[in-house]
Amino acid sequence: MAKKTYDLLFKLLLIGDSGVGKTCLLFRFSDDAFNTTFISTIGIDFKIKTVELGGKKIKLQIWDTAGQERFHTITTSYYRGAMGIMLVYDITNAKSFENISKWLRNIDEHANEDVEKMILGNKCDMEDKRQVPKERGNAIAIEHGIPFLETSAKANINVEKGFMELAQAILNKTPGRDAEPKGVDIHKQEQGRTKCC
Amino acid sequence: MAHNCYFSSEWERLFTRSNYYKKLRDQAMDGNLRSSRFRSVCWKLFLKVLPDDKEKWIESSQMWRQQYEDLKNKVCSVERFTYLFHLLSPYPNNIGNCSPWNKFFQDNELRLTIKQDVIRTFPELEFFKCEKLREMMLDILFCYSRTHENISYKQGMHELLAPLIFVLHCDHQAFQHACEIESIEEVIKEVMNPTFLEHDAYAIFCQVLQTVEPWYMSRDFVLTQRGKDFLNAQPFAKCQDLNPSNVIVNKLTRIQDYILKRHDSELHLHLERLEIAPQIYGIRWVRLLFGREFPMQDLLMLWDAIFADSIGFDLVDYIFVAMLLYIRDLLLSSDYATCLSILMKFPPVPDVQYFITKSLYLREPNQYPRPPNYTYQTVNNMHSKARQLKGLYIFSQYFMFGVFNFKEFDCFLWLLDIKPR
Repeated sequence: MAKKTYDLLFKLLLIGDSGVGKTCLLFRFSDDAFNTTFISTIGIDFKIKTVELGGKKIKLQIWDTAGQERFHTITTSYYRGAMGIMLVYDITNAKSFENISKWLRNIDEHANEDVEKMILGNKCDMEDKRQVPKERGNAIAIEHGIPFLETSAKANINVEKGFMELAQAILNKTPGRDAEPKGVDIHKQEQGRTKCC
Repeated sequence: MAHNCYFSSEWERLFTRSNYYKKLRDQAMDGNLRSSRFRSVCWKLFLKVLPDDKEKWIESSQMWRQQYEDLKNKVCSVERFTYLFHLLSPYPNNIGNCSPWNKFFQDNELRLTIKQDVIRTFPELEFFKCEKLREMMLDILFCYSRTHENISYKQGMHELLAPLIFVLHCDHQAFQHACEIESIEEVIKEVMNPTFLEHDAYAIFCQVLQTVEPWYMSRDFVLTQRGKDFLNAQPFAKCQDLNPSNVIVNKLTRIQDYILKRHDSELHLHLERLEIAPQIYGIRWVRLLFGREFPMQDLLMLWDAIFADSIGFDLVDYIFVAMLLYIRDLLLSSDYATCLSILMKFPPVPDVQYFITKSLYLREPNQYPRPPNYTYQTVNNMHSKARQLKGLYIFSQYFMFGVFNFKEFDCFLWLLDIKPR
């Protein structure tokens, strides 16, 4: 098996209504590209990106979900074990914003209690089609105590920032982050069941 | 009139021989419908849109088309009515469940949901960018979801519908071309009538969905105490632990834990050790009938076989395993993340027919000869061998003509893959 080339592994999950741009955000972050010809995610998809934060190499394992599957077992089983959840809506689609509270309820039901969250209002380059004022995004974020950013995968606004801030938030509460590198490799963890450092 | 027989003679060859149905199936399994101009008719037969008895083809086609016509009128007129209602009446304060307002909102939302996917259908193909075609897909999917409310519309259905429309369209093009140069039998004209592309697509789609519908069913999660215990059991818990009654998960588990294990226990163990549950990558494979794993022309060949083999699409499970075996060496030498990346982005396959042959063998090893070993590695080694031979040839040319110099020798080493880049 390939030897470990990272110090920490963080699992992130992207959720939000269908068509808000989850896959595009991920593609922008992982490949620094944008493609208008995107396809619907069926089931779940997956990308890896290794970043450096606080002198540590962090491997981000990012799971991209299908928007329509809000209530379905197959997606909700990924909530558990996710260390960070990116909740995305589309600023040109009021409905996708209204559903934020439903997604949040979903997180409460299925995710770890201490999961780090972040809300992204995507497509902020399309000002002329905006239906959700930035203040409303801000308000719901403050209400739930969750960081919030408006992003554009297309215009490359705040995408990297969003993912990095989420990763940073996870890193901040990772115990012993100044100590020896400790793999959070799930497979090893499974076998050993050892406590972290 | 030799050239005139071209189109009609293919029809005769396919559908008028004695015992034609069995021969048609064999052709589909052998990949010989690849260039047929009657693929849509073959699919209609395999999927029981048309009965075996050719005498009933006209009647049967008309029946299906009428059915869709009525359905569309009903569903869309309700929509028109509610739209009118919307225009005429003031916004109600209290929207009851049965009010036309409610229906109107629901329909609107459903249409938006479907449209979201329709506009993202096979973006690499120009064919699917046409606005009229998108409208048609939307109407078909809308009618389907309105008449199948237990399942409604699920993401992925649009990509099952799209190839059906594509095949019908191609056949109709060939038909229209043939009409210009030869006289065509009445039954062909009726069955191939391009006016009913939408109706025919709906009929075939319904039949496909009848089989795959359970694979789209995903029970809404009811969080009982038992469910909570399951959820708390382990991170990224296996889905089958969470909801044992899920059809697609059961199907995929059976494929990996039974069929794959029987044929390649090493690969099975590897995936098990890495905790790669088949639903992570397999849901898409199965729900779309491999639509994202192969380019369109290869996909159609695969569907020829799947539809011809049995109405239950039994072959899907074995094609699934044949695909895993194709990339087994890649998977065995990869870690969790690399394995997932390979499985989620299946490498190109030069010969898709191999999967059909292999799947038949996997299902009944005693009935079919064992196909030669064909994996991603063997295919790509073959390519690099060919490249090396070419290098050797160039090398010998250099010596023969005495024009050897170091720079060229350098190139030669590259060709042989000896020199690292």
